[in-house]
Amino acid sequence: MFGGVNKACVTGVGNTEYRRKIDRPADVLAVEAVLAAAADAGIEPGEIDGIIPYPGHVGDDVIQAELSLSIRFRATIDMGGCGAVSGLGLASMAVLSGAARHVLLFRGLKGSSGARKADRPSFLPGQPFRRHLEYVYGMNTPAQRYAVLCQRYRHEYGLDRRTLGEIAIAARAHANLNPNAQMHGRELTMEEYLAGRLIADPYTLYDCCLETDGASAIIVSARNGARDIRILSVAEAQGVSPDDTSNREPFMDIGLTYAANRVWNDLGMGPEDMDAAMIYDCFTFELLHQLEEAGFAGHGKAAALIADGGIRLGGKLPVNPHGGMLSEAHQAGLNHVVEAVRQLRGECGVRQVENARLIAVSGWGQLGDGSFAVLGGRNV
Amino acid sequence: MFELDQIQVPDLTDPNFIPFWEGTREHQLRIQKCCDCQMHRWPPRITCRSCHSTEVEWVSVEPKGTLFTYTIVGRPTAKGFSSVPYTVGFVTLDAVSNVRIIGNVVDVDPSVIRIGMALEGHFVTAGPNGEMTLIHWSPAENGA
Repeated sequence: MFGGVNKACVTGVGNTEYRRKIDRPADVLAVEAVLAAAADAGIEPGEIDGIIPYPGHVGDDVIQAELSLSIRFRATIDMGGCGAVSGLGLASMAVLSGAARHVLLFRGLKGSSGARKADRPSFLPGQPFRRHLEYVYGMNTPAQRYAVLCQRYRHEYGLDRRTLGEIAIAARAHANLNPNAQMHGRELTMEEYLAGRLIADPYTLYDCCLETDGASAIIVSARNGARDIRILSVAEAQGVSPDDTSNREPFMDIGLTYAANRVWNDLGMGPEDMDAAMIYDCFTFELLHQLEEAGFAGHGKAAALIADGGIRLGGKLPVNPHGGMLSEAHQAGLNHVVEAVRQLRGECGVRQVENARLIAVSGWGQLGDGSFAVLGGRNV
Repeated sequence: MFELDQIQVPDLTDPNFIPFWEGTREHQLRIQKCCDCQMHRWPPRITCRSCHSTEVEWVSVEPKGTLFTYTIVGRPTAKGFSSVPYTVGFVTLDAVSNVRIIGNVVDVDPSVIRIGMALEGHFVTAGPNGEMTLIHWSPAENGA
């Protein structure tokens, strides 16, 4: 019904182990993930002829040289955590236009054993005004920049700390069904959550995503085989004043607000048609925020969806059954795409979403960039 | 509470910010205003978002406002800010309601900070050699 053969597909996914402090360097991890994705797609690595890297980390040049690739299509998406889902759109255009046959997106990260976030070079836009207007007031990390959004939401709509706690605990419960999750085997209770140390109010330790050593990769192809997962629609957009949240108005608008609408209109579907959602969960509140901006709940209403197991496996809308960035791994959103593909293939064992046919995936980065895609399995 | 002399100084010769830093040195809060459509804007930009004019002037505005949102930082992440907790807020200016200024909220216990509280800016010398003047925000004298 949706797209038929003239849609690009995710044909291969792969990843390394995800944990803290892996000895091997990021490029070795990236090669391992890329080889796994090629094997999963049933192609020789040399058949990869398009490449989209993650800026600031293992580069396309490294993968091209290591695997002796003949690259016909190369692009960089400088949108931080938004790029994994935006990349589905760009890769689709590349393979459907004939610019390439198999486009690789990959991440090779040493988030856990590298420098602390505040000490790493920032790729955020608006660096000059950040240095002049934010850093001099001790505001220089993602947790601080996103905390002010949560604080304002709390003022406008009210927000119980236990709602954020349930987001963290649901992610952990899912991770405990995923042997490769960084936090597998480590239970999280509401008491532990509420006792987490303050990072940037209202965010405490368990509201913040992981930092991970590990790599992931996907391959997008102009092919529509039995295991291939169709990219039904993708959109990206920016919030008003995309590089700055302080003077954004409406303050809670983000790129996803507009991107999700475009996807729903494009497909003639809505949130109620989704069997699961992979939401870019850099912080607990950002998962709630995006559920609202993508239309899964009205403004100020997501807490009701989250309560009573609503976002857990078996709930009304299973969200991030892999554990997400909060409890599986930080792969700048690419692990969300990997999980969506595996879920739609029915490969997820004890964490399988029953009869998953349609899954929405969000990306979110650089304070204003949002991306959104709907992927479909064979039986759509 | 802050180690003001350790706060890293940005490039004060950046032309987009010279009028701002000259203003704070004179204890004035100056922001941009479009010469064509008269709209105030912040942070500094080359182009007016409303009419795309690049003709801009800098105007002084009273450093008074209300707290729009904030965070209380519990883990030190920046030079000059080793003592936690401290508060960073976005302050909506009373005189120009479409402009919010980022700054530290001081002279108030973090536990009683609330969105909507009235604040007054005051000017504080910072940097290793006192190169820059920052704006800190305190609860307004007359409450509100």
